[in-house]
Amino acid sequence: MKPIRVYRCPDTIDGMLTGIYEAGISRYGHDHIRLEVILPDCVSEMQLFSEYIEITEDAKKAAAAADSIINKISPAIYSNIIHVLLSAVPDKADIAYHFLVYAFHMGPAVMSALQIPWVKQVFEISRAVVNESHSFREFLRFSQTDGIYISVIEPKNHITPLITPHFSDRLNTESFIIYDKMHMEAGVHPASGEWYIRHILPSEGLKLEKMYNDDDGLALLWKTFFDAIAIKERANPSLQRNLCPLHFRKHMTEFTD
Amino acid sequence: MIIIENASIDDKLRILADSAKYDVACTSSGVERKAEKGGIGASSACGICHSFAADGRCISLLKILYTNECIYNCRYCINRITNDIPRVSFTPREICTLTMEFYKRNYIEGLFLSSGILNSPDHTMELMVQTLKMLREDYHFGGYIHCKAIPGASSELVELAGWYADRMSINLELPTADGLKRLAPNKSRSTILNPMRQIQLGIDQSRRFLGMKGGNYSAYNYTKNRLAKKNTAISSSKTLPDLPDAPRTCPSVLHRQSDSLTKRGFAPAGQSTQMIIGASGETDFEIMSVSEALYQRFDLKRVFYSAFINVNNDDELPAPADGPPLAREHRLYQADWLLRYYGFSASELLNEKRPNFNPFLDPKCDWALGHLKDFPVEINRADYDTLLRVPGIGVKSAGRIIKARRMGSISFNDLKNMGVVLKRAVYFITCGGKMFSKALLIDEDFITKQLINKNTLLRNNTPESSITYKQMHLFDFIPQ
Repeated sequence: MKPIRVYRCPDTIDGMLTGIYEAGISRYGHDHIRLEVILPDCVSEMQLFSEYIEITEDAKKAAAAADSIINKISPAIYSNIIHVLLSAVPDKADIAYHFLVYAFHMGPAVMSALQIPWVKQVFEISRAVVNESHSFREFLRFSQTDGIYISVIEPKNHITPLITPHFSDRLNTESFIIYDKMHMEAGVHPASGEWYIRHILPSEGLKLEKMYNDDDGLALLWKTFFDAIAIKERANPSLQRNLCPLHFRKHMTEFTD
Repeated sequence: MIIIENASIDDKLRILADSAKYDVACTSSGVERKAEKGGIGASSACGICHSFAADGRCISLLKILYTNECIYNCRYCINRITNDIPRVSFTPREICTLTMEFYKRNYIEGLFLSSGILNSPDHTMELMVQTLKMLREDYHFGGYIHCKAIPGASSELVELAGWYADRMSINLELPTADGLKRLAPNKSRSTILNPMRQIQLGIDQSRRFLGMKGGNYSAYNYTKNRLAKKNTAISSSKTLPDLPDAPRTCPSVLHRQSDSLTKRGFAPAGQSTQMIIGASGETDFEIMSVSEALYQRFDLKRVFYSAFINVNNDDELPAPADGPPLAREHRLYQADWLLRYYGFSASELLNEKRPNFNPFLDPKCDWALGHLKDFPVEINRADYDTLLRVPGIGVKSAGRIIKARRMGSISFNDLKNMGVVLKRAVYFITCGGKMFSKALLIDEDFITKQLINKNTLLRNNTPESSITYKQMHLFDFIPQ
């Protein structure tokens, strides 16, 4: 029996794309290839009769993989792959790789073939990531301190790169920071400049959280409005919970005292 | 009338949001627009809800009245002249500051501005237009604005409001002219329908001469065109003689304006309206016929339904012991979706003999049970519109089925992945010529019992235990 070959990739977009590139050109046989993501604070169980290959991030190889997905399949499929790689699913690189095997064969129409398990998984993960980023477009709250707008979020997936462009368009004259406490990263937009993503050190994170102040006059006005706009005769807390789940409310001005 | 002259901004906001809350529409959808360089605010075609109030309704816009002073005496309205309540008014600058500051904190998508009638309809509309002008031109606000047209205001002012706003709306209030006369003596059908017609023609002309400006057509319009291509045009509604027909070619309703005013287009996100449900004794059939007529003849984006709440404890108006008719309102919304997205007509769902919706079954299941001769439908062969009529299959899942079956045949297990609600669909479909289970009958009594009963045969006795039934998530309907 041919041993399973496991590619262990770093948990970054480029790292996983490098892994996909290496696995793709290896010609080892797709059924015998697995991709594993090295997650922090997580020791993976090694399996018998498998060979392990450590991948080091390589921007050139990652770009080559991205280019061939965009040019040989379609930009839409590439964005699906990016959504999967930004997700919190542990097997994401493996799912993306096996999905791509079908995608290179079937072309852009592969996304319609929900009968194929790999396609179904990519569809579901990508949808969950897009939905979560939409939720944060809705429920994210900025507070203003010294002219800088600060927001603290705790999303499940790495959605900061997906939502920062949205805010940098509509708030293009303002400086803002969206701080993702879960993944220790931040989307930063300097007033009238270009946005970027950067890693946040724990000490910086504490400072940002201290700067976040949703207790000023406007926050109080917003709470006044929020209470006044509900119709008492129609009170429906379970509907409210369905549409605005409790885990979002931790950082929402109107739900904090 | 108790007029408070120097109320604090907090008091004003509380009072004027409280009086505005009975307006239903809080949508921020229909127009896609990027922010201007140096300006604040963009708009997203799918709409963005920013919060959900204690009643479960979304908060997308800063929904306020300009003033709750009013010279009219509509019996159902909290702000009628005879009520002894504190009255306050905003100033344009206060509204602009609130909108901008709330917007920058991502509390809201924009402004929803309505008003009581202060002195005269024209005076009120002028103050509203002045506010919108300040917000757009002085504060460079590019977010969403929904503006109410005041019945009886001059057409020049309504037109100006349309250039500043993304969506215009004017409330029909009650489904029949008679009800309106009885409950809102100062309003008349013509002071409501004339501006509605003016806005419709304005939107139409703006689209033809200036382009869509990021706006989109109504769902009803898309459905009508799709069915027209297949020569199964929706029957036009014959009811409501008091709704005039649209003159298709008419003199220009839009006047020459500066480019800075027309750059956003005229009400690019379209027009909507709302009706009060359960205040004046109409049947569901009458209400649905009015909605259908409004969609067909006024090209509305949405008709909203508002379950009547007797806020004034008026003796002449009904005050049901079990609260506002929320279940009825829910059925009307379900039927409204069937009109706009599914190609149903009001007369298919209801008729004079059966004028109200079934409280136990949703309108689509109810319709399917009355048309069992058309079922079961074969998933691998039926066309899009036939699939749409199957209970448990929606616009998204029907589209996915059509695409997926080009790639191979579909089984019941695959349907679950596509978002079909099998709990309802199984009685009406076959996959590869087979029903889901031999125990299923195509029989009205049997299916009704199964659909109503929580503890159904299907749940206890699933042949494929891996199948679970799950309603799709709301955000599945937002294009990715």
